[in-house]
Amino acid sequence: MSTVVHHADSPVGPAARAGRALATSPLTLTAVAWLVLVVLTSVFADQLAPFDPLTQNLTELLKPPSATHWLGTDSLGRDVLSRLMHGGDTLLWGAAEATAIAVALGLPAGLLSGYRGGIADAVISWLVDLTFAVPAFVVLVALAVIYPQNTAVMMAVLGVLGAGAATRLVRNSTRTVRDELFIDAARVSGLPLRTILFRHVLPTVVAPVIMLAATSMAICVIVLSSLSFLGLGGSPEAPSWGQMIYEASQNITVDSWLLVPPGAVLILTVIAFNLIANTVRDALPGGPTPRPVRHRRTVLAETAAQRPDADPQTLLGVHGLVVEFPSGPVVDGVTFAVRKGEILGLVGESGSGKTVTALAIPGLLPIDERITAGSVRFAGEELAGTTERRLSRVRGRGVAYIAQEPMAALDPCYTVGNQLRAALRHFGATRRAAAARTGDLLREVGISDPDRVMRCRPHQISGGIAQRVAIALALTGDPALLIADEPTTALDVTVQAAILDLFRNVVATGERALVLVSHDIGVVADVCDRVAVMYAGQIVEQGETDSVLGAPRHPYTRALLRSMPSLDTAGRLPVIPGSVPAPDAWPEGCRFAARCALATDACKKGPIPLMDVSGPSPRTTRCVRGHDLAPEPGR
Amino acid sequence: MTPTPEEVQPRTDAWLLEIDHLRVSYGRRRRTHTAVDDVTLNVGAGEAVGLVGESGSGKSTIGRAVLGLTASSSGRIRFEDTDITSVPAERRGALTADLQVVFQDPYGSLNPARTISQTLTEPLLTHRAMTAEQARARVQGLLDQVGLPADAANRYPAAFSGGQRQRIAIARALASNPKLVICDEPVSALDLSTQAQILNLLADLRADLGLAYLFIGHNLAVVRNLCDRVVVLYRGQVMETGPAAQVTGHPLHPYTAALVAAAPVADVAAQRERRLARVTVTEPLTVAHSGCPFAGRCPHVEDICRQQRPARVKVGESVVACHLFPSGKGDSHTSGSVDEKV
Amino acid sequence: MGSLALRRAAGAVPLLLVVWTAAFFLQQLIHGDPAAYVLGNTSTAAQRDQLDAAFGLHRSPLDQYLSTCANLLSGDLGRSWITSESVGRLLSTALPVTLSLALLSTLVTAAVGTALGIWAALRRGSRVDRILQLAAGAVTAVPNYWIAVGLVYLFAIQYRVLPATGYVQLNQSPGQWLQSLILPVIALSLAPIGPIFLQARSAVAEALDADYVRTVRALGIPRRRQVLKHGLRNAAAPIVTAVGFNTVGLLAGTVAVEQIFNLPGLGSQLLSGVLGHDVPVVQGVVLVFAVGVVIVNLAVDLLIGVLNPKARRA
Ligand SMILES: Nc1ncnc2c1ncn2[C@@H]1O[C@H](COP(=O)(O)OP(=O)(O)OP(=O)(O)O)[C@@H](O)[C@H]1O
Ligand code: SF4
Ligand code: SF4
Ligand SMILES: [Mg+2]
Repeated sequence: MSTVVHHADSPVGPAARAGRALATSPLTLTAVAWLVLVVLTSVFADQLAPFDPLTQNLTELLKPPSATHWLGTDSLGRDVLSRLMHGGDTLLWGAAEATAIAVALGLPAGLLSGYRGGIADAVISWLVDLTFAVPAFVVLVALAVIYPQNTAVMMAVLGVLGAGAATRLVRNSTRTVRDELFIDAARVSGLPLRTILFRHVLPTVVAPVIMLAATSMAICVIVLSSLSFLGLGGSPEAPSWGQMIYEASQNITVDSWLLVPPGAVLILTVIAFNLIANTVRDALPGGPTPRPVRHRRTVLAETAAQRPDADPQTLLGVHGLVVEFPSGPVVDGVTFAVRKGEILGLVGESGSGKTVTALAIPGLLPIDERITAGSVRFAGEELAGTTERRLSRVRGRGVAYIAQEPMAALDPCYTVGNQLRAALRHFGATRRAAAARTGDLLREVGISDPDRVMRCRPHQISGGIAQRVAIALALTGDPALLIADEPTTALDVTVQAAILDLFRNVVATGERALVLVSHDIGVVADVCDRVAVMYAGQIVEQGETDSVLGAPRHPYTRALLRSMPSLDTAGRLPVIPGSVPAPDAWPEGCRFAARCALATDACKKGPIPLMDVSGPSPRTTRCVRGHDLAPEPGR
Repeated sequence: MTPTPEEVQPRTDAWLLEIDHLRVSYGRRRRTHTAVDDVTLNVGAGEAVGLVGESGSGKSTIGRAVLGLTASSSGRIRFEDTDITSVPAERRGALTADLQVVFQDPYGSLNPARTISQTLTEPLLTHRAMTAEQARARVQGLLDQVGLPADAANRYPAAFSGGQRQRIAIARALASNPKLVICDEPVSALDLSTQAQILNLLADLRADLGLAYLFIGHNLAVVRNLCDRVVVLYRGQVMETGPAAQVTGHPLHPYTAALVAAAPVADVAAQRERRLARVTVTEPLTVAHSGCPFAGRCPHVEDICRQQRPARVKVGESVVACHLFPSGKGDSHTSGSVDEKV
Repeated sequence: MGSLALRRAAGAVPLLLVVWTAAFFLQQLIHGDPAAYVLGNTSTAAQRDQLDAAFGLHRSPLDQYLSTCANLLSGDLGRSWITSESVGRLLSTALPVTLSLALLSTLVTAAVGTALGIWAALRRGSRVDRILQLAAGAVTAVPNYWIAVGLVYLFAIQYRVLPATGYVQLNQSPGQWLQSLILPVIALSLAPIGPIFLQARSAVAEALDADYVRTVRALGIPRRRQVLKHGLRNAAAPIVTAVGFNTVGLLAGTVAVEQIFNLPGLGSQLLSGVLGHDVPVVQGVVLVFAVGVVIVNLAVDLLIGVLNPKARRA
């Protein structure tokens, strides 16, 4: 994707972001409120509880909830609500103790091992592995053989074992920050280690630690209540939720209600801790991005005019294409056509809508982007707004797509040969034919040792070879149209030259066409017959490559060409002031007006249409002063 | 065999930065990978030296070794006659002020949780014993110098575009009044229109402040635009060093020639000619570990290239490492495009 | 691959040694005379002396440690202080029960979690997805012993469709074996399904968003192939990690669940050992569980090694 990155919603650190996330989610607020309630009732149980939790009342055995006993009574006639209020005390304290120990040990150990690396890291990691190999719960139960009912010791042990997880988490977060360039920059500034750790590392570790603490509380509450269910945790006299569940299980044949109150309180408490952990985790960098909207069938705002394709040689006709993100349009009325045997370049800066346009043609837009107007006619068939099923028949055979990152575009889990054969089989080749064709295809894309490359997985080949393989994959269905999105941007120039030669060969048969998306005007000059220059979601100039690049009729094209450094000269470059406007800041009039040296009031009045430029070949520009740019006659 | 740097490079003034036979290896024991292999290069005071090469050729590693962010395996790095080879960044004391950096990634190089003024004052308050008041004034001065509005100071990096962030990163580098700034691909992540703005800014700052640059890049034209001299790197080794105009206009080394030939220009007719002139070489499948690193892709390869590592030879104002230049006699060569290998 | 397995297995040995040693020294933490501790305060001196003599409890701790280590090497885990039975034999009858429970539960959690995860990943953002995510969060919070008691009440007491307690060996009657395990397995599996589901969901979703899936989509390859061949395969490693992690948790859960369903497994042995102050039995169970955890972690490591494409050579 080549859209401008806007992190405007996250101007603060992860910890603050996590805090804000906690405060704005109603569910999480409820969770916090519940925990506050539980803690308060536990602390003030003596004052709040309506009855003494231990007083038996043999006349009121196993009573259902009533006005006096809101939650009923148990098999000894004790008030369930009162027992519940007294039952959280040891549990929560114990869990807090274990969690505090885990964090107190894990935080420094994780920082040390993550930032320093080396031997400290090796030793600490070994110890962490050790804690992961200990069956913690079983050890706690075993401990009861020596220290029956001693919650403090059990929780201390649990805390030490839990420190392993804390250490690993802190270590990994520290690792990630340590590799950030801003840490390098701080080091180059000569900041002392202490400052770097406290100012740059610790703040990013705080949020993960909060998350871990909440998770740890949840786990410890479950563990501790299990122990008291088994009769091993806490004094048998003091009520606890786990023990109440045990008593309920003993009376289950008589009264199943008793299972409900302690279970519900326990489960809700654990859920509350988990919810807080999740909210913090989601607010961390790398957490889930805003949920994509589910894919809906595209509904076109206006149906494309059923215009007959003027030229029988025309393979692809895109007309008035509008693509919208949930936030609004990013491609706004793009129109172009591609003939057989032709290479069309789509050129523009990042955020101009090149990639979105390219993806929209074969219907490969991510699920939150959709075509809302316009038409994409390929070989006489309308592709905009058709079903996935019909599109999938066109894809591969009719239109093939080649992505920017060749390495990422190939599945890392399968060999090159496997992926090519699978595609060939999909297009109807027999097993044997597919095997034979695979080698031929690889040779066609200029790989001299296909047998060896076939056996490689993508990470074992270089970027250039990977791009050749990706092109071979795109050719498996013998498509009429190739769409290549920045196919050489990730490659070195020497390799780029060879790949561009390959593209030229692929189209040389005259039956195929190529739409090449690039930000590099040099690449366009090298291979493209025609070029469409995009700016802020629109095509601003279109025509044959040599005339557009040789005598641009749009101020943007001209300024862009002038701002390119060249191999022959040095010195200050003419620049375009300012930067590309974001889609939500597109002006109503000419979108380039704010940066244009020729701008007049007329430019800002309203949308500028594409205008024909007279000349030997068809040419358009979206500029009211296009004629002012015309080369003077005689020059 | 190998001439000393004094022999191959005219010693104009005292060098600001001297890198002698630098070697940097990553990994341990049998799985080491030599990213920088016997690199010698110098930067004079106020000079801009460009370091070009393909991805993975070791450009950034050289920069990081100079900055003390990566440990060198052997060789020597001296800054103003102080040996800084094995002094990590944290222990460079006052030297850190003289040696600064601008990284490629404008998003990763600023801490998202700190405001611009916090980022910029950090080095000021640490080293220069400024009062908060003085630091604030300095920040305003820096922002002005890199062409950002004064109210940028209180905002977070997220509020800025890539080009603006790169200006902030430049301001941070300038904060300590450095003598040398390592620019690790500072414009590679930027759009064409922004790239020109930043290149001009770097050129202006150099003229105004007398800065020296070690400018790392992969785009020859960009390097040519800003630098006095160019060092061409391939697989961690220096192939050619020379005046920028000379290297891009009349490349001597076959690899440099291939680079120049493959860089596309935005003029259709000129590019057609360049395309027809470039030669494509079928690649071998294994990388040789002795001899010339370019031997596998070189159109002029001979037996000796595979056996012996070519010595650095002075040809005119340039220094070339290629067997085609055995005794300092060089002539121009057909430019050739080369292909990648598995 | 084989060498990796060996190296990992070798690395686990010191780990087990540490666990075993810790388990042994548990006994040293007893205050006063262990014999008195086991036999209770009402025991006579003669009884205590007899126990001391039978188990060598009067020897120095190091002496005892070395001899138990030597015994361990020959496969002898010692004898119960209470019944004098061989701990090895005791545990070997209990092991199949716990193993059946753990294996079945692992299978159930892996299958259900992954299947639901794929389903949700395909419908990201839909109502089904949101409900499943909430449910995953909720089931994770349900303690297995509570759900176990609830299941006993519902299916064994209220509706009487399944046996409440007891265990039938697999070779006696596979059908009844399965019946006796259905409720315990559900009780054990419910909570771990949550995290496995969430992991599977996000891993599959990430794979489906990857460029390589777009590549096959751009070739017109049907959705099912995209998901199963490319999505699931690439998501496999994190799912396996999650399953392994939860299997370790599940092993611990067997203690309470065996107790509730009256299954004669390792957990029941542990509990009776604990209540009877039978230290050798407790030590043995701890060791067996530690071995179990080590094996699970080893299996995960090896599986990841196989699944990670970069670890394999062409
Ligand atoms: N931390 C590291 N550990 C191991 N290998 C590394 C590390 N950093 C770089 N390398 C390797 O060293 C070699 C040189 O890397 P370097 O980053 O210096 O190249 P570069 O010329 O800057 O490339 P690019 O143009 O991609 O930035 C590469 O093969 C790279 O994979
Ligand atoms: S329409 Fe006006 S503002 Fe827009 S490009 Fe043309 S001259 Fe410039
Ligand atoms: S030394 Fe040989 S292989 Fe290397 S560049 Fe020169 S001619 Fe080519
Ligand atoms: Mg680099």
